[in-house]
Amino acid sequence: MTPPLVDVNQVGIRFGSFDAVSDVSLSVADGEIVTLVGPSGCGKSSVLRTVAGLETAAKGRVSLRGAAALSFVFQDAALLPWLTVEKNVALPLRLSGADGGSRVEEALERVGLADRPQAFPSQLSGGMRMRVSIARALVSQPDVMLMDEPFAALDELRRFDLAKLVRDIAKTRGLAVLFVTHSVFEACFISDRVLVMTPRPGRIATDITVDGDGQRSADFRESDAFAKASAEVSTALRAASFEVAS
Amino acid sequence: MIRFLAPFGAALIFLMVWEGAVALFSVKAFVLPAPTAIGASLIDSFSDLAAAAGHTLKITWISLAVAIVLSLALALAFSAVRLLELTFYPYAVVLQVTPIIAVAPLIMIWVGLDNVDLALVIIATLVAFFPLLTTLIQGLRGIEKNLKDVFRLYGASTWQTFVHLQLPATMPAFLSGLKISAGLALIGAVVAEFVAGSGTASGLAWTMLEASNRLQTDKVFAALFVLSGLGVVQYYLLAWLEETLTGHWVGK
Repeated sequence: MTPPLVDVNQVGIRFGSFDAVSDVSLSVADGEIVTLVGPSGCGKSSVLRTVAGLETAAKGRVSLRGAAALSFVFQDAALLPWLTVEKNVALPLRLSGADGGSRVEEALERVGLADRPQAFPSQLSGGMRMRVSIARALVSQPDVMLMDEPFAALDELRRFDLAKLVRDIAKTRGLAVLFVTHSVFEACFISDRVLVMTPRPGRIATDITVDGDGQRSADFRESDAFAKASAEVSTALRAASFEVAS
Repeated sequence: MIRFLAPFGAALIFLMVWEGAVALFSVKAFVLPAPTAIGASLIDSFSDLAAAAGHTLKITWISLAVAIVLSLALALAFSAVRLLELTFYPYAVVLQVTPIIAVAPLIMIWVGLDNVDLALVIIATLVAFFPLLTTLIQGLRGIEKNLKDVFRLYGASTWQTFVHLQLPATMPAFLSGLKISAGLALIGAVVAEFVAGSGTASGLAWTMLEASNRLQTDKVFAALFVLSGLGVVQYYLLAWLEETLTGHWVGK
Protein backbone atom coordinates (compact mmCIF):
# COMPACT_ATOMS: atom_id res chain seq x y z
CA MET A 1 0.00 0.00 0.00
CA THR A 2 1.33 3.45 -0.91
CA PRO A 3 1.75 5.72 2.08
CA PRO A 4 -0.42 8.89 2.11
CA LEU A 5 0.83 11.97 0.30
CA VAL A 6 0.56 14.08 3.43
CA ASP A 7 1.06 12.59 6.85
CA VAL A 8 0.69 14.76 9.92
CA ASN A 9 1.71 12.87 13.01
CA GLN A 10 0.86 14.11 16.53
CA VAL A 11 1.70 17.69 15.69
CA GLY A 12 1.53 20.39 18.35
CA ILE A 13 1.91 24.08 17.54
CA ARG A 14 2.78 26.77 20.07
CA PHE A 15 2.71 30.55 19.73
CA GLY A 16 4.84 31.99 22.49
CA SER A 17 3.41 30.65 25.70
CA PHE A 18 0.10 29.25 24.55
CA ASP A 19 -0.76 26.07 22.68
CA ALA A 20 -2.55 26.76 19.42
CA VAL A 21 -2.83 23.13 18.42
CA SER A 22 -2.29 20.04 20.49
CA ASP A 23 -1.71 16.62 19.06
CA VAL A 24 -3.17 16.66 15.55
CA SER A 25 -2.78 13.61 13.33
CA LEU A 26 -4.19 13.37 9.84
CA SER A 27 -3.38 12.06 6.41
CA VAL A 28 -4.39 12.91 2.86
CA ALA A 29 -4.18 10.39 0.02
CA ASP A 30 -3.76 11.02 -3.72
CA GLY A 31 -6.85 12.68 -5.17
CA GLU A 32 -8.43 12.96 -1.75
CA ILE A 33 -9.99 16.13 -0.42
CA VAL A 34 -9.81 16.48 3.34
CA THR A 35 -11.30 19.47 5.12
CA LEU A 36 -10.61 20.87 8.56
CA VAL A 37 -13.56 22.60 10.18
CA GLY A 38 -13.75 24.08 13.62
CA PRO A 39 -14.54 27.24 15.56
CA SER A 40 -12.52 30.41 14.90
CA GLY A 41 -9.08 30.28 16.47
CA CYS A 42 -9.00 26.51 16.83
CA GLY A 43 -5.73 26.38 14.90
CA LYS A 44 -6.96 24.91 11.63
CA SER A 45 -5.06 27.48 9.60
CA SER A 46 -1.99 26.86 11.73
CA VAL A 47 -2.11 23.17 10.86
CA LEU A 48 -2.23 24.10 7.19
CA ARG A 49 0.63 26.57 7.51
CA THR A 50 2.69 23.98 9.35
CA VAL A 51 2.16 21.47 6.54
CA ALA A 52 3.30 24.22 4.12
CA GLY A 53 6.40 24.87 6.21
CA LEU A 54 5.32 28.44 7.00
CA GLU A 55 5.16 27.57 10.71
CA THR A 56 7.24 25.08 12.66
CA ALA A 57 5.67 22.36 14.74
CA ALA A 58 6.65 22.42 18.41
CA LYS A 59 6.24 18.66 18.50
CA GLY A 60 5.27 15.86 16.17
CA ARG A 61 6.14 15.54 12.53
CA VAL A 62 4.82 16.45 9.10
CA SER A 63 5.93 14.19 6.28
CA LEU A 64 5.28 14.33 2.58
CA ARG A 65 5.68 11.27 0.38
CA GLY A 66 8.74 11.43 -1.85
CA ALA A 67 9.44 14.90 -3.18
CA ALA A 68 5.78 15.90 -3.21
CA ALA A 69 5.35 19.49 -4.37
CA LEU A 70 3.05 21.80 -2.40
CA SER A 71 1.04 24.81 -3.34
CA PHE A 72 -1.03 27.11 -1.18
CA VAL A 73 -4.16 29.17 -1.82
CA PHE A 74 -4.74 32.05 0.57
CA GLN A 75 -8.01 33.52 1.73
CA ASP A 76 -7.76 36.83 -0.10
CA ALA A 77 -6.23 35.45 -3.33
CA ALA A 78 -2.90 37.16 -2.50
CA LEU A 79 -2.23 38.38 -6.01
CA LEU A 80 0.39 40.98 -6.88
CA PRO A 81 -1.65 44.04 -7.93
CA TRP A 82 1.05 45.33 -10.29
CA LEU A 83 1.14 42.19 -12.41
CA THR A 84 -1.32 41.01 -15.04
CA VAL A 85 -3.29 37.80 -14.56
CA GLU A 86 -0.85 35.94 -16.78
CA LYS A 87 2.22 37.17 -14.90
CA ASN A 88 0.65 36.47 -11.52
CA VAL A 89 0.03 32.89 -12.58
CA ALA A 90 3.58 32.61 -13.92
CA LEU A 91 5.12 33.82 -10.63
CA PRO A 92 6.02 30.39 -9.16
CA LEU A 93 7.72 29.43 -12.43
CA ARG A 94 9.56 32.72 -12.59
CA LEU A 95 10.82 32.37 -9.01
CA SER A 96 12.06 28.84 -9.60
CA GLY A 97 13.58 29.76 -12.95
CA ALA A 98 11.40 27.22 -14.75
CA ASP A 99 10.22 27.76 -18.29
CA GLY A 100 6.55 28.76 -18.28
CA GLY A 101 5.57 28.26 -21.90
CA SER A 102 2.19 26.64 -22.27
CA ARG A 103 1.72 25.86 -18.58
CA VAL A 104 0.39 29.31 -17.70
CA GLU A 105 -2.09 29.16 -20.55
CA GLU A 106 -3.12 25.68 -19.55
CA ALA A 107 -3.69 26.67 -15.91
CA LEU A 108 -5.75 29.69 -16.95
CA GLU A 109 -7.75 27.49 -19.29
CA ARG A 110 -8.42 25.08 -16.43
CA VAL A 111 -9.94 27.76 -14.20
CA GLY A 112 -11.91 29.33 -17.04
CA LEU A 113 -9.91 32.53 -17.40
CA ALA A 114 -8.12 31.90 -20.69
CA ASP A 115 -9.68 35.05 -22.16
CA ARG A 116 -8.35 37.51 -19.56
CA PRO A 117 -4.56 37.01 -19.44
CA GLN A 118 -3.79 40.75 -19.71
CA ALA A 119 -6.25 41.95 -17.05
CA PHE A 120 -5.01 43.35 -13.77
CA PRO A 121 -6.39 41.91 -10.50
CA SER A 122 -8.17 45.19 -9.75
CA GLN A 123 -10.24 44.73 -12.90
CA LEU A 124 -11.55 41.33 -11.80
CA SER A 125 -14.32 40.29 -9.42
CA GLY A 126 -13.50 38.48 -6.18
CA GLY A 127 -14.44 35.13 -7.70
CA MET A 128 -12.24 35.70 -10.73
CA ARG A 129 -9.31 36.76 -8.55
CA MET A 130 -9.68 33.50 -6.66
CA ARG A 131 -9.64 31.61 -9.95
CA VAL A 132 -6.35 33.33 -10.80
CA SER A 133 -5.01 32.32 -7.41
CA ILE A 134 -6.00 28.70 -8.04
CA ALA A 135 -4.36 28.84 -11.48
CA ARG A 136 -1.17 30.11 -9.82
CA ALA A 137 -1.32 27.19 -7.39
CA LEU A 138 -1.76 24.75 -10.27
CA VAL A 139 0.98 26.09 -12.53
CA SER A 140 3.81 24.51 -10.57
CA GLN A 141 2.05 21.14 -11.02
CA PRO A 142 1.78 20.34 -7.33
CA ASP A 143 0.88 17.01 -5.75
CA VAL A 144 -0.73 18.69 -2.76
CA MET A 145 -2.81 21.85 -2.67
CA LEU A 146 -3.39 23.55 0.68
CA MET A 147 -6.34 25.94 0.78
CA ASP A 148 -6.91 28.32 3.69
CA GLU A 149 -10.56 29.48 3.70
CA PRO A 150 -10.16 30.39 0.05
CA PHE A 151 -13.81 31.19 -0.66
CA ALA A 152 -14.74 32.91 2.61
CA ALA A 153 -15.16 36.32 0.98
CA LEU A 154 -17.33 35.08 -1.90
CA ASP A 155 -21.09 34.79 -2.23
CA GLU A 156 -22.83 31.44 -1.91
CA LEU A 157 -23.17 30.75 -5.62
CA ARG A 158 -19.52 31.44 -6.46
CA ARG A 159 -18.40 29.44 -3.45
CA PHE A 160 -20.05 26.31 -4.76
CA ASP A 161 -18.89 26.95 -8.33
CA LEU A 162 -15.32 27.19 -7.15
CA ALA A 163 -15.64 24.26 -4.75
CA LYS A 164 -16.88 22.17 -7.67
CA LEU A 165 -13.97 23.39 -9.81
CA VAL A 166 -11.42 22.45 -7.14
CA ARG A 167 -13.00 19.03 -6.68
CA ASP A 168 -13.00 18.41 -10.45
CA ILE A 169 -9.33 19.33 -10.68
CA ALA A 170 -8.37 17.20 -7.68
CA LYS A 171 -10.22 14.18 -9.01
CA THR A 172 -8.91 14.41 -12.58
CA ARG A 173 -5.30 15.02 -11.56
CA GLY A 174 -5.06 12.91 -8.43
CA LEU A 175 -4.24 16.08 -6.52
CA ALA A 176 -4.44 15.84 -2.73
CA VAL A 177 -6.26 18.79 -1.20
CA LEU A 178 -6.21 19.88 2.42
CA PHE A 179 -8.94 22.47 2.80
CA VAL A 180 -9.85 24.78 5.68
CA THR A 181 -13.25 26.39 6.11
CA HIS A 182 -15.76 27.20 8.81
CA SER A 183 -18.73 26.51 6.57
CA VAL A 184 -20.21 23.09 7.23
CA PHE A 185 -21.99 22.99 3.86
CA GLU A 186 -18.92 23.96 1.90
CA ALA A 187 -16.93 21.33 3.77
CA CYS A 188 -19.45 18.58 3.01
CA PHE A 189 -19.81 19.59 -0.62
CA ILE A 190 -16.11 19.58 -1.46
CA SER A 191 -14.70 16.86 0.79
CA ASP A 192 -14.19 13.15 0.89
CA ARG A 193 -13.51 13.47 4.61
CA VAL A 194 -14.27 16.22 7.09
CA LEU A 195 -12.18 16.53 10.25
CA VAL A 196 -13.86 18.44 13.06
CA MET A 197 -11.53 20.27 15.43
CA THR A 198 -12.09 21.38 19.01
CA PRO A 199 -11.54 24.98 20.23
CA ARG A 200 -8.04 26.00 21.24
CA PRO A 201 -5.82 24.18 21.80
CA GLY A 202 -7.20 22.46 18.75
CA ARG A 203 -7.20 18.76 18.20
CA ILE A 204 -9.23 16.57 15.90
CA ALA A 205 -12.42 15.40 17.58
CA THR A 206 -14.18 13.55 14.77
CA ASP A 207 -13.33 12.17 11.34
CA ILE A 208 -16.43 12.03 9.10
CA THR A 209 -16.50 10.40 5.68
CA VAL A 210 -18.73 11.99 3.02
CA ASP A 211 -20.15 9.41 0.64
CA GLY A 212 -20.15 10.13 -3.08
CA ASP A 213 -17.03 9.48 -5.08
CA GLY A 214 -15.60 11.36 -8.01
CA GLN A 215 -16.88 14.65 -9.34
CA ARG A 216 -19.96 16.24 -7.86
CA SER A 217 -22.55 18.48 -9.48
CA ALA A 218 -24.80 21.05 -7.84
CA ASP A 219 -27.37 18.26 -7.36
CA PHE A 220 -25.12 16.70 -4.76
CA ARG A 221 -26.37 19.34 -2.34
CA GLU A 222 -29.81 17.73 -2.49
CA SER A 223 -28.53 14.20 -2.02
CA ASP A 224 -28.95 12.07 1.07
CA ALA A 225 -25.20 11.66 1.39
CA PHE A 226 -24.81 15.46 1.63
CA ALA A 227 -27.66 15.80 4.13
CA LYS A 228 -26.32 13.02 6.28
CA ALA A 229 -22.76 14.37 6.28
CA SER A 230 -23.94 17.94 7.03
CA ALA A 231 -25.96 16.72 10.00
CA GLU A 232 -23.05 14.66 11.30
CA VAL A 233 -20.55 17.50 10.96
CA SER A 234 -22.89 20.01 12.63
CA THR A 235 -23.49 17.65 15.53
CA ALA A 236 -19.80 16.91 15.86
CA LEU A 237 -18.96 20.61 15.82
CA ARG A 238 -21.46 21.35 18.57
CA ALA A 239 -20.24 18.42 20.61
CA ALA A 240 -16.60 19.45 20.17
CA SER A 241 -17.31 23.01 21.29
CA PHE A 242 -19.38 21.81 24.25
CA GLU A 243 -16.71 19.37 25.34
CA VAL A 244 -14.30 22.16 26.11
CA ALA A 245 -16.86 24.58 27.55
CA SER A 246 -18.00 22.06 30.17
CA MET B 1 -12.92 71.66 -17.96
CA ILE B 2 -14.19 73.76 -15.05
CA ARG B 3 -11.26 72.31 -13.09
CA PHE B 4 -8.89 74.31 -15.32
CA LEU B 5 -11.07 77.29 -16.11
CA ALA B 6 -11.96 78.18 -12.53
CA PRO B 7 -8.43 78.63 -11.13
CA PHE B 8 -7.29 80.22 -14.40
CA GLY B 9 -10.17 82.69 -14.33
CA ALA B 10 -9.47 83.55 -10.69
CA ALA B 11 -5.82 84.26 -11.57
CA LEU B 12 -6.89 86.48 -14.47
CA ILE B 13 -9.23 88.54 -12.27
CA PHE B 14 -6.55 88.82 -9.58
CA LEU B 15 -3.97 90.07 -12.09
CA MET B 16 -6.41 92.59 -13.56
CA VAL B 17 -7.21 94.00 -10.13
CA TRP B 18 -3.49 94.14 -9.36
CA GLU B 19 -2.74 95.92 -12.62
CA GLY B 20 -5.58 98.38 -12.08
CA ALA B 21 -4.61 99.08 -8.46
CA VAL B 22 -0.98 99.78 -9.36
CA ALA B 23 -2.09 102.25 -12.05
CA LEU B 24 -4.83 103.83 -9.92
CA PHE B 25 -2.68 104.47 -6.84
CA SER B 26 0.54 105.15 -8.82
CA VAL B 27 2.46 102.56 -6.82
CA LYS B 28 6.22 102.82 -7.32
CA ALA B 29 7.60 100.02 -9.49
CA PHE B 30 10.29 99.09 -6.93
CA VAL B 31 7.58 98.56 -4.31
CA LEU B 32 5.07 96.65 -6.40
CA PRO B 33 5.49 96.39 -10.16
CA ALA B 34 2.43 95.84 -12.35
CA PRO B 35 1.89 92.32 -13.75
CA THR B 36 2.62 93.64 -17.26
CA ALA B 37 5.97 95.00 -16.05
CA ILE B 38 6.78 91.64 -14.49
CA GLY B 39 5.82 89.96 -17.76
CA ALA B 40 8.12 92.31 -19.66
CA SER B 41 10.94 91.58 -17.24
CA LEU B 42 10.29 87.86 -17.63
CA ILE B 43 10.79 88.21 -21.38
CA ASP B 44 13.76 90.58 -21.11
CA SER B 45 15.76 88.47 -18.70
CA PHE B 46 14.56 85.16 -20.07
CA SER B 47 18.01 83.73 -20.81
CA ASP B 48 19.27 84.80 -17.35
CA LEU B 49 16.29 83.24 -15.64
CA ALA B 50 16.43 80.07 -17.71
CA ALA B 51 20.10 79.55 -16.86
CA ALA B 52 19.43 80.20 -13.17
CA ALA B 53 16.41 77.87 -13.21
CA GLY B 54 18.54 75.21 -14.90
CA HIS B 55 21.09 75.48 -12.13
CA THR B 56 18.51 75.31 -9.35
CA LEU B 57 16.82 72.35 -10.99
CA LYS B 58 20.15 70.56 -11.35
CA ILE B 59 20.82 70.95 -7.63
CA THR B 60 17.24 69.89 -6.84
CA TRP B 61 17.34 66.73 -8.90
CA ILE B 62 20.82 65.64 -7.83
CA SER B 63 19.69 66.09 -4.21
CA LEU B 64 16.51 64.18 -4.89
CA ALA B 65 18.47 61.32 -6.45
CA VAL B 66 20.83 61.18 -3.47
CA ALA B 67 17.85 61.31 -1.10
CA ILE B 68 16.17 58.43 -2.94
CA VAL B 69 19.24 56.18 -2.75
CA LEU B 70 19.89 57.08 0.90
CA SER B 71 16.30 56.64 2.05
CA LEU B 72 15.86 53.38 0.19
CA ALA B 73 19.04 51.94 1.70
CA LEU B 74 18.05 53.09 5.18
CA ALA B 75 14.45 51.94 4.88
CA LEU B 76 15.58 48.49 3.79
CA ALA B 77 18.12 48.30 6.60
CA PHE B 78 15.49 49.47 9.12
CA SER B 79 12.91 46.98 7.94
CA ALA B 80 15.43 44.15 8.00
CA VAL B 81 17.00 44.91 11.39
CA ARG B 82 14.59 46.29 13.97
CA LEU B 83 17.43 47.34 16.29
CA LEU B 84 18.82 49.65 13.59
CA GLU B 85 15.46 51.37 13.28
CA LEU B 86 15.05 51.73 17.04
CA THR B 87 18.56 53.18 17.28
CA PHE B 88 18.65 55.58 14.37
CA TYR B 89 15.09 56.57 13.54
CA PRO B 90 14.98 59.16 16.35
CA TYR B 91 17.98 60.86 14.77
CA ALA B 92 16.21 60.99 11.45
CA VAL B 93 13.37 62.74 13.28
CA VAL B 94 15.82 65.17 14.91
CA LEU B 95 17.19 65.92 11.47
CA GLN B 96 13.70 66.53 10.20
CA VAL B 97 12.51 68.85 12.96
CA THR B 98 15.67 70.97 13.05
CA PRO B 99 15.06 73.95 10.78
CA ILE B 100 17.40 73.50 7.88
CA ILE B 101 18.09 77.21 7.75
CA ALA B 102 19.76 76.87 11.15
CA VAL B 103 22.04 74.09 9.99
CA ALA B 104 22.83 75.55 6.59
CA PRO B 105 25.48 78.04 7.79
CA LEU B 106 27.43 75.18 9.39
CA ILE B 107 27.38 73.17 6.21
CA MET B 108 28.46 76.27 4.33
CA ILE B 109 31.44 76.62 6.63
CA TRP B 110 32.38 72.94 6.42
CA VAL B 111 32.09 72.36 2.69
CA GLY B 112 30.62 75.47 1.10
CA LEU B 113 33.78 77.55 1.09
CA ASP B 114 35.49 75.22 -1.35
CA ASN B 115 32.49 73.83 -3.13
CA VAL B 116 29.21 75.73 -3.00
CA ASP B 117 27.28 73.27 -5.16
CA LEU B 118 28.20 70.37 -2.90
CA ALA B 119 26.94 72.32 0.10
CA LEU B 120 23.72 73.10 -1.75
CA VAL B 121 23.21 69.43 -2.57
CA ILE B 122 23.83 68.38 1.04
CA ILE B 123 21.33 70.90 2.38
CA ALA B 124 18.63 70.08 -0.18
CA THR B 125 19.17 66.35 0.38
CA LEU B 126 18.71 66.76 4.12
CA VAL B 127 15.36 68.43 3.53
CA ALA B 128 14.13 65.99 0.89
CA PHE B 129 15.22 62.85 2.64
CA PHE B 130 12.76 62.45 5.50
CA PRO B 131 9.38 62.11 3.74
CA LEU B 132 10.90 59.51 1.47
CA LEU B 133 12.30 57.56 4.40
CA THR B 134 8.99 57.49 6.29
CA THR B 135 6.87 56.60 3.27
CA LEU B 136 9.30 53.86 2.26
CA ILE B 137 9.35 52.39 5.76
CA GLN B 138 5.55 52.43 5.80
CA GLY B 139 5.45 50.89 2.34
CA LEU B 140 7.79 48.08 3.32
CA ARG B 141 5.89 47.42 6.54
CA GLY B 142 2.56 47.48 4.78
CA ILE B 143 3.35 44.55 2.50
CA GLU B 144 0.65 41.96 3.09
CA LYS B 145 1.72 38.94 5.06
CA ASN B 146 0.07 36.65 2.53
CA LEU B 147 2.18 38.07 -0.28
CA LYS B 148 5.34 37.51 1.74
CA ASP B 149 4.16 33.96 2.42
CA VAL B 150 3.65 33.36 -1.31
CA PHE B 151 7.29 34.28 -1.88
CA ARG B 152 8.49 32.13 1.02
CA LEU B 153 6.41 29.22 -0.19
CA TYR B 154 7.93 29.28 -3.64
CA GLY B 155 11.42 29.53 -2.21
CA ALA B 156 12.20 33.05 -3.41
CA SER B 157 15.70 34.30 -2.62
CA THR B 158 16.25 37.55 -0.73
CA TRP B 159 17.13 39.23 -4.00
CA GLN B 160 14.03 37.90 -5.77
CA THR B 161 11.85 39.05 -2.89
CA PHE B 162 13.45 42.48 -3.09
CA VAL B 163 13.06 42.87 -6.85
CA HIS B 164 9.70 41.18 -7.37
CA LEU B 165 7.92 42.04 -4.12
CA GLN B 166 9.44 44.75 -1.95
CA LEU B 167 10.38 47.22 -4.67
CA PRO B 168 7.09 47.13 -6.59
CA ALA B 169 5.00 46.91 -3.42
CA THR B 170 6.50 50.12 -2.04
CA MET B 171 6.05 51.93 -5.36
CA PRO B 172 2.79 53.74 -4.46
CA ALA B 173 4.15 54.92 -1.11
CA PHE B 174 7.44 55.84 -2.74
CA LEU B 175 5.79 57.90 -5.47
CA SER B 176 3.61 59.83 -3.06
CA GLY B 177 6.67 60.46 -0.88
CA LEU B 178 8.53 61.56 -3.99
CA LYS B 179 5.93 64.23 -4.77
CA ILE B 180 6.48 65.77 -1.33
CA SER B 181 10.24 65.32 -1.38
CA ALA B 182 10.67 66.85 -4.82
CA GLY B 183 8.94 70.01 -3.61
CA LEU B 184 11.07 70.04 -0.48
CA ALA B 185 14.27 69.49 -2.47
CA LEU B 186 13.43 72.57 -4.51
CA ILE B 187 12.79 74.57 -1.33
CA GLY B 188 16.01 73.18 0.15
CA ALA B 189 18.00 74.18 -2.91
CA VAL B 190 16.60 77.72 -2.79
CA VAL B 191 17.14 78.11 0.95
CA ALA B 192 20.69 76.87 0.55
CA GLU B 193 21.33 79.42 -2.18
CA PHE B 194 20.02 82.20 0.05
CA VAL B 195 22.34 81.10 2.82
CA ALA B 196 25.24 80.87 0.41
CA GLY B 197 24.36 84.42 -0.57
CA SER B 198 26.29 86.12 -3.31
CA GLY B 199 29.46 84.58 -4.56
CA THR B 200 29.70 81.62 -6.81
CA ALA B 201 26.07 80.48 -6.47
CA SER B 202 24.11 81.08 -9.64
CA GLY B 203 20.59 79.71 -9.18
CA LEU B 204 17.20 81.37 -8.97
CA ALA B 205 17.51 82.41 -5.34
CA TRP B 206 20.74 84.16 -6.08
CA THR B 207 19.08 85.90 -9.05
CA MET B 208 16.35 87.13 -6.70
CA LEU B 209 18.86 88.32 -4.09
CA GLU B 210 20.84 90.19 -6.66
CA ALA B 211 17.76 91.73 -8.26
CA SER B 212 16.40 92.83 -4.90
CA ASN B 213 19.73 94.42 -3.98
CA ARG B 214 19.40 96.47 -7.15
CA LEU B 215 15.72 97.22 -6.43
CA GLN B 216 14.72 95.40 -9.63
CA THR B 217 11.51 94.29 -8.03
CA ASP B 218 10.00 93.24 -11.34
CA LYS B 219 12.85 90.78 -11.84
CA VAL B 220 12.41 89.45 -8.29
CA PHE B 221 8.80 88.72 -9.15
CA ALA B 222 9.76 87.21 -12.49
CA ALA B 223 12.20 84.83 -10.76
CA LEU B 224 9.60 84.03 -8.13
CA PHE B 225 7.12 83.22 -10.88
CA VAL B 226 9.62 80.89 -12.57
CA LEU B 227 10.38 79.24 -9.23
CA SER B 228 6.79 78.43 -8.34
CA GLY B 229 6.18 77.42 -11.96
CA LEU B 230 8.98 74.87 -11.65
CA GLY B 231 7.50 73.53 -8.42
CA VAL B 232 4.06 73.16 -9.97
CA VAL B 233 5.30 71.51 -13.17
CA GLN B 234 7.49 69.16 -11.15
CA TYR B 235 4.54 68.20 -8.93
CA TYR B 236 2.20 67.46 -11.81
CA LEU B 237 4.86 65.50 -13.68
CA LEU B 238 5.30 63.28 -10.64
CA ALA B 239 1.54 62.99 -10.16
CA TRP B 240 1.28 61.91 -13.79
CA LEU B 241 4.09 59.41 -13.27
CA GLU B 242 2.29 58.04 -10.21
CA GLU B 243 -0.95 57.62 -12.15
CA THR B 244 0.82 55.98 -15.09
CA LEU B 245 2.83 53.57 -12.99
CA THR B 246 0.35 52.60 -10.31
CA GLY B 247 -3.07 53.75 -11.56
CA HIS B 248 -4.12 50.30 -12.74
CA TRP B 249 -3.39 48.76 -9.32
CA VAL B 250 -6.46 50.23 -7.79
CA GLY B 251 -8.58 49.87 -10.86
CA LYS B 252 -9.34 53.33 -12.19
